[in-house]
Amino acid sequence: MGEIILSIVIGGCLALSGVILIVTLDKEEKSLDKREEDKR
Amino acid sequence: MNIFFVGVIVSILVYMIVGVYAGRSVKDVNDYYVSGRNAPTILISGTLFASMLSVNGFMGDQGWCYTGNITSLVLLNSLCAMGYVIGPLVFGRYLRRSECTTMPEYFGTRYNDRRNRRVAGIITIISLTAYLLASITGVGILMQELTGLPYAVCLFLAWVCFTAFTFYSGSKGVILTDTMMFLVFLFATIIAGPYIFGAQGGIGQLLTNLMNNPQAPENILDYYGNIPGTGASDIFGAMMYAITMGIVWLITVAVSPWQAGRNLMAKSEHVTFRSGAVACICTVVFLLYLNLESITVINLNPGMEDPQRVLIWAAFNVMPKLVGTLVLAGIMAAGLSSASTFLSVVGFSVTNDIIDFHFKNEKEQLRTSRIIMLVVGVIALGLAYLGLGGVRIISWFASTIIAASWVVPGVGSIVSDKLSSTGARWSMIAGFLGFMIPKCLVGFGVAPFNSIFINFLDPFFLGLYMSLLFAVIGSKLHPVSETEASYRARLLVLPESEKVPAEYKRDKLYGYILIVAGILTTIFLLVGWALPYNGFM
Repeated sequence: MGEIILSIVIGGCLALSGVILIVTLDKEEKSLDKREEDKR
Repeated sequence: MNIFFVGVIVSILVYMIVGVYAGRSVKDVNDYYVSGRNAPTILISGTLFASMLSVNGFMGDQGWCYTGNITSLVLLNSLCAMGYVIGPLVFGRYLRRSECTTMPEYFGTRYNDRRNRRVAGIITIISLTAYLLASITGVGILMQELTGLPYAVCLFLAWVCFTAFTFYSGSKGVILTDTMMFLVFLFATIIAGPYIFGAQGGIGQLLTNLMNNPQAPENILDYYGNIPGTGASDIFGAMMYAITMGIVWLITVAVSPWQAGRNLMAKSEHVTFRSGAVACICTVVFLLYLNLESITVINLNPGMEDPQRVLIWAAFNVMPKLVGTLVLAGIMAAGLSSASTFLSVVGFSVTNDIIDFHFKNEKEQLRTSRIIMLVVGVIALGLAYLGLGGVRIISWFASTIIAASWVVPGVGSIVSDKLSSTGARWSMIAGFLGFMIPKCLVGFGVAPFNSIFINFLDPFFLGLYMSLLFAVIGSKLHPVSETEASYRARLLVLPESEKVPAEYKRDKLYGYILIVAGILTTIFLLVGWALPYNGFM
């Protein structure tokens, strides 16, 4: 059972890194869009 | 003289020629120190991963897999890999924004205090000189093994190779050769795989063969691995070792000068995110592939006297000579790339962060930088000849000591508006000493410390806790000044040049690639190991 959990954790670290990257940059991009809209 | 000898020498000559050629395009100190700050994703990815992976990655770590700790190492690497993505987001991008040439310079500028720069510079020089010594020694030993030449000659040849292009072309040469070396060891490992797996019936047979191999190390296929191999006495201890070391290396790749410092050369902040994502994938996927090659050798040559030679044995005995030569050149490349990075970082710090030079012009600064780099290289060679690279205590300096002392002032310089110059400086010194003192107690086997300072009381974490404590004390006694506050506020402003929607889309694509890679890795491990091993398939 531990092996199954570890397999998920190992791949999960990669996937989580991807999620962190996407979420962080998405938030930043949206705040830029909002600032552009406010300027207009 | 054999093909392996010729292959290694030819590869060294190629790196030297390319590296020195790159030096011809070095026009100013910006080119020399930070490669003109226009390095694309491929070069930053290459230098990041090549600087991380040294001879130890191909020998010591593979020996650890061979003796039963592949699961420990893969877990450790997975946690470490996250640092490549998190690091640029919380620190690396802001470091790049500072437009400093070295990380100690960043600490001096950010906190408006030359003393911070000097302390950071001293820590950099001590740690990376130790790392450089360990690298030179490792490469020298490997070259002796491969060529049969005397050790002293091998040490000199290895040194000439990486010093030649490092002192002449600086970062421009280093990142180019690092990337070449990265591609060499990447392709060598990929090409070697089918030969190694095929020699025992293919990768599909690996699990069955290991399960039926009476000479396979104990618990090699269990999630906790070989317990004594982690220095632990039970399953919990073994898992905690892998997890804590994984966190240690996560922090190391996020803030250390030979990793986070590479971001100073990136063309844009978007390049730092993408190259981080590439390094993240390589750290999990490529190293897993390499580790599987090492444990496959158990089915071909069990009970090796020196497990660290597992890949060297495979290169000599399992693959065609040409492929074997490529693998050996790849291992050599891993060592040389790390050594060149360490030499360049140390040399830059000596010139910029310790000594107060006043240059007449840029030409003089460039010439002086090159001379000092050469002098540092000669000193490192001298120390290597004295055998210091193999001294145990040197390896303690050559580890994660910088991360223990820099993570608080580094990440704190961005996320905290309360961390002052004094707090940062005391934090660095406390982290450094907080690591070294317990490390010596543990390393010399002083009871009862060697059994107390483990897991989250590992010397690394003790250094971290001390660093945090003194950051708070120092900041309370000498609060943040207006200059420090306004510099931090400027750092937090996203530059106009970075506000390109298309770049964000591309960055997020790398994020999706990470997610897909993670899912595929999990499926591979479940189908190839976890499910059949537990009788579900």
